[in-house]
Amino acid sequence: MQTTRAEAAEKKSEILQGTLDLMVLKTLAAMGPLHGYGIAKRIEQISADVLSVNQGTIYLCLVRLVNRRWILSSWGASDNNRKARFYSITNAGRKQLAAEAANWERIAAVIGRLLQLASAG
Amino acid sequence: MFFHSRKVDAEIDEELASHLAMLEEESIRRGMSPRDARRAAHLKLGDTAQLREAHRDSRGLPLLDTLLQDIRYASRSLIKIPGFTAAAVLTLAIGIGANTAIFSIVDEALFRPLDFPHPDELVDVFAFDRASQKFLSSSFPDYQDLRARVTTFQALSAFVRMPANVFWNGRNQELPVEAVTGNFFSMLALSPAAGRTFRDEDDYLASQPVAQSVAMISEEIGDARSIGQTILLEDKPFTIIGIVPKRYRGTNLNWGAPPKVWIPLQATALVRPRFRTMGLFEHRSMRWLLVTGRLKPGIRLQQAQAEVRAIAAGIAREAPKDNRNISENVFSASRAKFWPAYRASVTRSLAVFAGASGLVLLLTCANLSNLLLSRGLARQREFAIRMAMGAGRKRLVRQLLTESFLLALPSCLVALAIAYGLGRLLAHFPNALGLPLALNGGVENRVLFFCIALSIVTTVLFGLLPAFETTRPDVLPALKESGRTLSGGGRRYLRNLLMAVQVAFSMVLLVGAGLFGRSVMRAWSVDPGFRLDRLWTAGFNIPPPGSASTERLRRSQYDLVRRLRELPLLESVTLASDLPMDRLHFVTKIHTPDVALSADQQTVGLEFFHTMGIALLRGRDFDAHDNSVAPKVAIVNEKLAGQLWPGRNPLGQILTAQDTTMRVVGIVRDVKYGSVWESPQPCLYVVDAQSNRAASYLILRLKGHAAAFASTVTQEWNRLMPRSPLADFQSGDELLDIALAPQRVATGVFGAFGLMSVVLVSVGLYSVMAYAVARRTREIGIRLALGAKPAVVVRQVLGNVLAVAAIGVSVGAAISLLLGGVVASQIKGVSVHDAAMFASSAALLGVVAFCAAVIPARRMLRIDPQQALRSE
Repeated sequence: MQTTRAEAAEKKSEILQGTLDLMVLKTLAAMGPLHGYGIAKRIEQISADVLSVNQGTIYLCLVRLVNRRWILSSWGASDNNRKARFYSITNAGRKQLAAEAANWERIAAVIGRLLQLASAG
Repeated sequence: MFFHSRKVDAEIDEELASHLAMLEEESIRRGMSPRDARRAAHLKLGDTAQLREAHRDSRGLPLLDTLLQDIRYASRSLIKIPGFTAAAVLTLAIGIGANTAIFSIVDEALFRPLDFPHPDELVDVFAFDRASQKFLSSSFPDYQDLRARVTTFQALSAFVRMPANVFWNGRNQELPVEAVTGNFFSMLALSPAAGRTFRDEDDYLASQPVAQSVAMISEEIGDARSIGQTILLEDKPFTIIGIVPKRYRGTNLNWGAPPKVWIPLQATALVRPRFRTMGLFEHRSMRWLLVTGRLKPGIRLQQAQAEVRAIAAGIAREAPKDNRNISENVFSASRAKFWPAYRASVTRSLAVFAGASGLVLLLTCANLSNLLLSRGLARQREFAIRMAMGAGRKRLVRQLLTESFLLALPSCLVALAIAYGLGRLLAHFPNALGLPLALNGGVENRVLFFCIALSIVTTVLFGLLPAFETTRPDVLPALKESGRTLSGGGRRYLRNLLMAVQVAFSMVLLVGAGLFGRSVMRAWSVDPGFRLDRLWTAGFNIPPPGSASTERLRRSQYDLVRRLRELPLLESVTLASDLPMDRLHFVTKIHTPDVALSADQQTVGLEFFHTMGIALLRGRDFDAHDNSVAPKVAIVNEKLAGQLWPGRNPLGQILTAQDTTMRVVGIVRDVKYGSVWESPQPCLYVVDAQSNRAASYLILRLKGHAAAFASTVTQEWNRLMPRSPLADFQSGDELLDIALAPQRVATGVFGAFGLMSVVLVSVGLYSVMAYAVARRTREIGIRLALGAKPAVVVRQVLGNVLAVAAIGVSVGAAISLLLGGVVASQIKGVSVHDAAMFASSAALLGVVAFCAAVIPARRMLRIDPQQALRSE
């Protein structure tokens, strides 16, 4: 039973796995410590609502990243003085981000070139 | 801890709640109604229950909490597969149970401290003859000198065990009696169950001829009400002053049954009057006592050893005639539970059993590892998903280990039951270790602890490998459907390795069982030179030689034999001094004018050779004219005749033994009277009527299978000697059985273990095969669809199993060859490198492997390629 529920969750996040990690890491690197809502909000803003994330997925991603020691969490107060957990990127996280970003750019470049070729042809 | 766990849950809830609140606030700012805003927020965040779970998995909850959760989860998943669970529990129980049983015997015989306060202070002192390199008992004067001179001991006592005819509770019985010095029980610090223990005055008073002595009896035959009553030992009255608790089983194990009656040492002279006239309490040459003492606190064994050696050297100087070569050795009493010289042989027997049971355990572990591995591989998807969700590998390994422990727990209980039964069986098997050790074989604290510790070690052994293997990070491809056909390459080697190990151990056990079994069978087919069939023996209760009761006993024996000869159910009846198949012989010095040598001497009744079926080669048998006043006559066997008078006619020759000169009147065939393994020894037969020793055994040969003969004989005897009962009847086959007990027990142990191992191996092979076929259904389907011949595919899979079996058998054979030397001394009549035994064990395992593999292989043949491809 546990399996099926987990499986379902996995399928939903499938598109985003890897991609979402990269986005969260990049957001934290760029913005500094943020809470889960802030991260979700930021990603939606940047993507101009093209990617409407099931925001719960962000937390799955955060758990995973904490687990890999790429980000840290600590309690703090939000803008309107609400208690919230803030996440910040670690050095290991920055390294991972750099590596993933380079990788991503390479792939994006290849795909971009391919698409250009296709439209030119 | 629960509090902490709730706190972690609460933190997640709080985090999610604040997220929801922020979503709501924003929606309200955008103009939504608060109710709609809440709904929208929940939709946006999604399923929070699942988030919490992922959180828990990743964080690792406090230990107790995860543990409880793991236990719940594991028991649920184990209950879902009752077949697997039962098989695993039973397999484990057998492995652990067998080892626990062997441990309880090993521990009791070799290691367990005696059950007295400060057992480490208790030591045994054995005399050692440097000339013959043998351990000896101590003489009474030696004991007295030691006791007077030692400073490192709190107390030094001496004791001796002897059987005595005891009249108690209106019944005559032969019971083991221990005669102990007055300080014996206070030295052991044993408090009585009732009454008091001996004091030095009791011992002193017993040496005075007028006083009635005192005795203590075991809780097993009396209680507080017995105190003050009189008990008769060899018709001498003793007043009971104390009750010895049941748990006291004597400090020495190799004297048969534990004692039931205790008397002061000096009172032995009352029970055995000849002890006094023989000078047992005066001569240093009379060595009949065991010496046990308690060291002063803080004194080390070496200090006591040095002191006792020095004292022994002093005594040797003072009494060089008897003690010139005598030294004394001090042993920790917990380690000297039997004659020191036996230690090596007992240790070797036990080591063989321990080795065999250890193999069973390793085999069990290999088997369970394999079972868990296949189960683990089947669950790879589950693990992969949980890891992807953020569950730490540690957490998964811990959970798998929890499952293993859940298997071990009930196994431990079943194992204790198995150990209890096995231990009792081994302990009560007469002569199991080649010595009549009085072992209890029960389950007590140390055994319990061992069983639990072993379960834990075993669980780690068999559980850890599969746990790590199945949670390896590279199982992630398992998530992808295609991972199914190709995965597990490395793990297949691991499984094959585990299988090969099982086959190898199984091979060792089978070869062992075969060798011991052949040894026993050989023994049965050896012709000892006389016939054991329809032969029955019974022991007489023998008074000390030369006493007045000897004559009475002898007269009764003759009367009995006369009456029995009239019974139609007996073919013949005789008397003998030695029991067939008993290794104890009476050895005597024989002189002729030319030669002096040692030989066995047996005192036999009339018709002995006829009853035993020993062929008389020349001359005549003893007859009724050979009585005490007639000239003394002897019969010799061929071997003795050849040694005394090589090339000459032994008939009519004169020889001297035991200060008696005899004329040889007959020659009989050599027989293996004492042991089927030894070659016949030179033997001198003298007739009972001309000996001063009364015969110890009645020997009968029945006409048919007369069941009622025993009660008839017993009734006849009780009419003659009501106070001196006959010991139990034993058949010739029983005697051989007892003589062969070490080999028979070993055969049983190895046989049972071998059988278990074959079952385990076949289950293991079957499961590996079945699993491999199930996993590769798709691959095989594709291959069949592409036109591969089914037979080729089957052959390939079968070949794999048979190769594994072949490797296992070879390795097992090599181990057996190496271990052969260890058991060589216990396996008689068969070479430990017996090729037939190796070949048949290998063949058996080969057949088992083939059968285990062929059933799943047949299933493979039925795979329908279309269905196989569609199935995933």
